[in-house]
Amino acid sequence: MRMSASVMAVILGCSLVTIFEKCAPLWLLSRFKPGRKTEEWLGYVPAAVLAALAAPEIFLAKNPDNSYSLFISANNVFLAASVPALIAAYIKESFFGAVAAGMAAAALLRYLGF
Amino acid sequence: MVFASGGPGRGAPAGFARAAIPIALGYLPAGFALGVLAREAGFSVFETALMSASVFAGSAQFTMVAQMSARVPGPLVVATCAMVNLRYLLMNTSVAARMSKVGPIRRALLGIMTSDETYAVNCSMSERLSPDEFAAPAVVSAALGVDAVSYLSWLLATSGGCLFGAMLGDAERFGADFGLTAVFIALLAPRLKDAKQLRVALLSGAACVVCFLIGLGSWSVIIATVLAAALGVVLP
Repeated sequence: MRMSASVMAVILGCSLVTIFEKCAPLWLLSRFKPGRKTEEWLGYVPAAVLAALAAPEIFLAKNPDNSYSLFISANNVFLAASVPALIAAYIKESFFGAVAAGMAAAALLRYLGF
Repeated sequence: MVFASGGPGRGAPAGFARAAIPIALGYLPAGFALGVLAREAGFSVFETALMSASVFAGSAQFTMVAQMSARVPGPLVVATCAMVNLRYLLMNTSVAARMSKVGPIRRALLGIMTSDETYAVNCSMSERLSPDEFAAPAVVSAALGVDAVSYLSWLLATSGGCLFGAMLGDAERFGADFGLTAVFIALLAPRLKDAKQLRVALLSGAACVVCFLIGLGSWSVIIATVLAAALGVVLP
């Protein structure tokens, strides 16, 4: 079990950066004017972060020595479960539907012995 | 349309109120799922509630929990959280001028309680009103009301998930270990309809996988994000 102090420190750090990011534009108002390039870069950040978070979970397997290797196989439950999640999220635009579809697919594959 | 008839400003409080319920209901299942995962990552109920109350940002909180589970060092968790929430800087920049007549304390509350959903409501409401009309007590109170209902719903759902999640038993059997990845996919997919966003997402995902393969570990997410977003700007 991790020390509770580090959880508290992370929560404090994350809340400070988040409150700054949410409030700074409203407090500083027109003084904060990102340039066109900066604004475009900021606009790509959410998609980039989310893809960077999801891709390793889907395509990589952790080895016993803590290194990673590509895991593209019919036995990869996460890779298979991503398909219904992506379809539900892309076509239905349903947040909870996508999460439910992905988790149900993962549960079913595990039940089938993958 | 969320707006009732009766001239600009007059129907606004009712419009806000109608938006609050679906947002609050939508937060319940997602918040509960986050609470369950937070418990598995070693968060206590108090820590989960504190995180929801002080950070109040769904995708960032899912990221925090995932990284804490994977024992990513604290400073990197905070840096990733800052990256995930950078969009709020952009969002609130886009409405800052329209909220300029609102008092400083209420403006701070509107800021802290910003979420993707409340931003969408505040943005479409403020678009239809002048800064003076938006600053009218009835309108600002209604906007803060939507924020407060959403905020409380999120707080209750995440704490409840952490408190009662243990009753679900072996989480992997229910595919719960895929939950976080599914959340990232669900948040990412709507953005992929834009060709440039799709290109950045593919670049970032591939870059992150390569970073992990060459042993960059916890730094991979930030390196891939900064690089892919920059390539999105630079590439024709």
